[in-house]
Amino acid sequence: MSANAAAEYTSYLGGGDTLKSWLTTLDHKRIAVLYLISITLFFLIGGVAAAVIRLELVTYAGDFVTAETYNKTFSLHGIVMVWFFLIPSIPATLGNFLIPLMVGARDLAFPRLNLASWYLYTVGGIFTIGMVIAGGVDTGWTFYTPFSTMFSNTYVVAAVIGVFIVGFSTIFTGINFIVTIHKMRAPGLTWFRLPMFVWANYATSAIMVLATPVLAMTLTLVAVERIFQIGIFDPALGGDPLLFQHLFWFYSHPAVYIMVLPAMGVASELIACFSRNPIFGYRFMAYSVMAIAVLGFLVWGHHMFVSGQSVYAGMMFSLFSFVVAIPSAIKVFNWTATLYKGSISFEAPMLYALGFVFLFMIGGLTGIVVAALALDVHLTDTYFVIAHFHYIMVGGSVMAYLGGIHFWWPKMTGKMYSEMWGRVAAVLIFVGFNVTFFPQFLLGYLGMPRRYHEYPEALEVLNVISSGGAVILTLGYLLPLVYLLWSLRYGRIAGGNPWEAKGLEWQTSSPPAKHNFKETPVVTEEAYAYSPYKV
Amino acid sequence: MMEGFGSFLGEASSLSRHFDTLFLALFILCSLVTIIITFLIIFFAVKYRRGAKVNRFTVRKSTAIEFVWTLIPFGLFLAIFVWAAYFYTELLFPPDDEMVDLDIAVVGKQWMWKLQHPNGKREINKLHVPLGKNIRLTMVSQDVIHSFFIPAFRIKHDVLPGRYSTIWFRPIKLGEYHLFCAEYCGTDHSRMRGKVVVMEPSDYAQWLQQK
Ligand code: HEM
Ligand SMILES: [Cu+2]
Ligand SMILES: [Cu+2]
Repeated sequence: MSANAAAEYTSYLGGGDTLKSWLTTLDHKRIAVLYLISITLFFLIGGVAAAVIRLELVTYAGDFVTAETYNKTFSLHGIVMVWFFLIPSIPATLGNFLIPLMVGARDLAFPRLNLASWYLYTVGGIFTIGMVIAGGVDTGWTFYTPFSTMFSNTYVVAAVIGVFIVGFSTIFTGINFIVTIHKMRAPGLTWFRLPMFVWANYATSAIMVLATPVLAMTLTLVAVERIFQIGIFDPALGGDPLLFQHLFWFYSHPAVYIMVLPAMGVASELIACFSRNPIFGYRFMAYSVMAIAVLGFLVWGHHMFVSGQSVYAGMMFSLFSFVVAIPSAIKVFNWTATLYKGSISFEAPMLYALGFVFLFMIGGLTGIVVAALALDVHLTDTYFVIAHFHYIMVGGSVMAYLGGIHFWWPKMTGKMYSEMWGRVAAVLIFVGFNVTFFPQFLLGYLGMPRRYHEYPEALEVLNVISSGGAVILTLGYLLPLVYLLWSLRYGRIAGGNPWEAKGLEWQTSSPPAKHNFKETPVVTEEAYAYSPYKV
Repeated sequence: MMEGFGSFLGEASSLSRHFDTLFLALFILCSLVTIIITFLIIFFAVKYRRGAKVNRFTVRKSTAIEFVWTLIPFGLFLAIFVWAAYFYTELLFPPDDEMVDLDIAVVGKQWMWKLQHPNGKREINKLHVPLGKNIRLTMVSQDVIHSFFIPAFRIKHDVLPGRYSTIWFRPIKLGEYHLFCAEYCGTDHSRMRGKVVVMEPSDYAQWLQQK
């Protein structure tokens, strides 16, 4: 039977390449590719919005677009980047593709649910694009009440419905991962032999399943107040405006960990592979992602230190925020220690991974600055916060996402990309990112509020530098688009395991066969058993 | 109006200096962590690059070192937490009634600040205050949530509809300072700006009497 199967080997890409066969596929690898294409489109949409924002801020006067357009632009940027790019990014593409391979399974537990999840994403996305064409929304991605429910004259309900729908695609993905990781691990693949990438996605899935329903409910309440004028949030109708912020951040802080935990998983895989070392402190790393997932639910109030919540509540939320920094710090220390006595090489994925560690560290440390109560009073709602979370989410998560795409590109496509261009792009992105966002720490310290269409003249220099950096960053992001697509046609044949990496996904062919493995693999060693192979 | 950003921020309230000290302390702590980690990453990356002839033999024991490198920094950062929390109460709990020299009523609405002095004198987007006095603001919004932010004083608080919030400050330097709305409140959020003018108490008294 197995000799037979080998003879009939077809890659998941081969056969049935009609549009219909792709749109009705139940293969997790094909669904990952569908996701990859769709989130790239949304990344471009969000990127264009970012470009408009940075162009407007080149001069202190509001002269490039009107205030209304500016507000709609940053709202679009936030909504698209958070819900249509970052949240699905690593889980829905790399996770979808790799988790069954990494646990030695044929597919995810619920292939139909997986396809449904992509369709929900697409419907939510089309809804959101339609909302923008109709006229857009100007509430920011945070939808603060009572502005969103009673005062904005834009398409709030449509925007909320788009996000509501895409939320369910997140929940479906989460359920699928949890069941797969629990039930479908290959023989011998115990919990503490799982790659960190699987642990990270497991922790992420738990947050997805627990937090996203709260978002759905909160957005429903926004729509209800807006449509039926029932007093939930607007005090003029008898509502409580802070209630919204509590509900929103109860989802949205855990959601930032949805965005960064998978990136931590990717970084662990890359650093282990390119330093030919097992991840240092494997168990601590695994406990850390779970700890982050749990503690992440206890810190939402750190977004509300000046909102009028009780001063004592502020203290608790601040303390918990310091505590949640511990597992994040453990991760950084352990990645560093993994390099120790390794045999380190610097292919593009490794450059992305090292860039990730550095930028995530800056993001995390400045997170502590804004978690320190008295400092946050001055810094909140300024560009300092913008810089902080871009260091985490763009410097950190996007960097790791790109590193992962490069690392597993040969696995997904069977082709090698151009190593030289890969390195050039990684360096451009790292430099461009810092030039764009570092000045924003200074702007924030000087008091420049976020979401400002015009600003005092004295702050212009720093804004010009930041916009200049964005040009470099844009180049860096466009490059991979070119050479990765190029590699599909002209790239070298990759072979099963071009990086000589450990992990079950490297034991099958590239691109993998439809059914992943010829026969179910049996695992006999720990994850990252690299050491004996060191040079 | 031209000003370099050195003087842009200013240290103009009794609390500004405390803020800057605390910020500096945390900045040093964070820089230390950054420098150590960055150094180690680069050092390891160079020393253990593939092909280099170095001893790579190692026995990996992680438990003890995990506790050391977690708990020591955590202790240091915890000190910052306590310091920042204590100072937060100072910012957000206004002084007792008898300590307050001046009570100002603040109303935010899309998109302007309306301010009223105790004798009933009103102004818009401009707030005159006397130097060296404890000034308490009682703030409310007529529509959406705004946020009253004076960077030079390191003070900010949201201004909510249907609920009064109070903050306070004591200006220690004459001059004009920016007043911003820091909570996104709709189309002209970025134009909801004004000036705080700190005057000699005698000038302020005179100003108060002008029609
Ligand atoms: C190292 C631990 C971290 C700490 C202590 C921390 C702390 C904070 C605090 C206190 C704020 C509120 C700032 C303010 O409103 O002024 C904040 C904002 C934010 N953080 Fe973090 N953070 C951490 C990590 C992260 C991570 C991992 C992410 C995402 C991947 C993230 C994303 C964000 C976002 C999106 C905001 C801004 C929300 C908004 O105002 O629109 N943070 N963080
Ligand atoms: Cu306002
Ligand atoms: Cu505003």
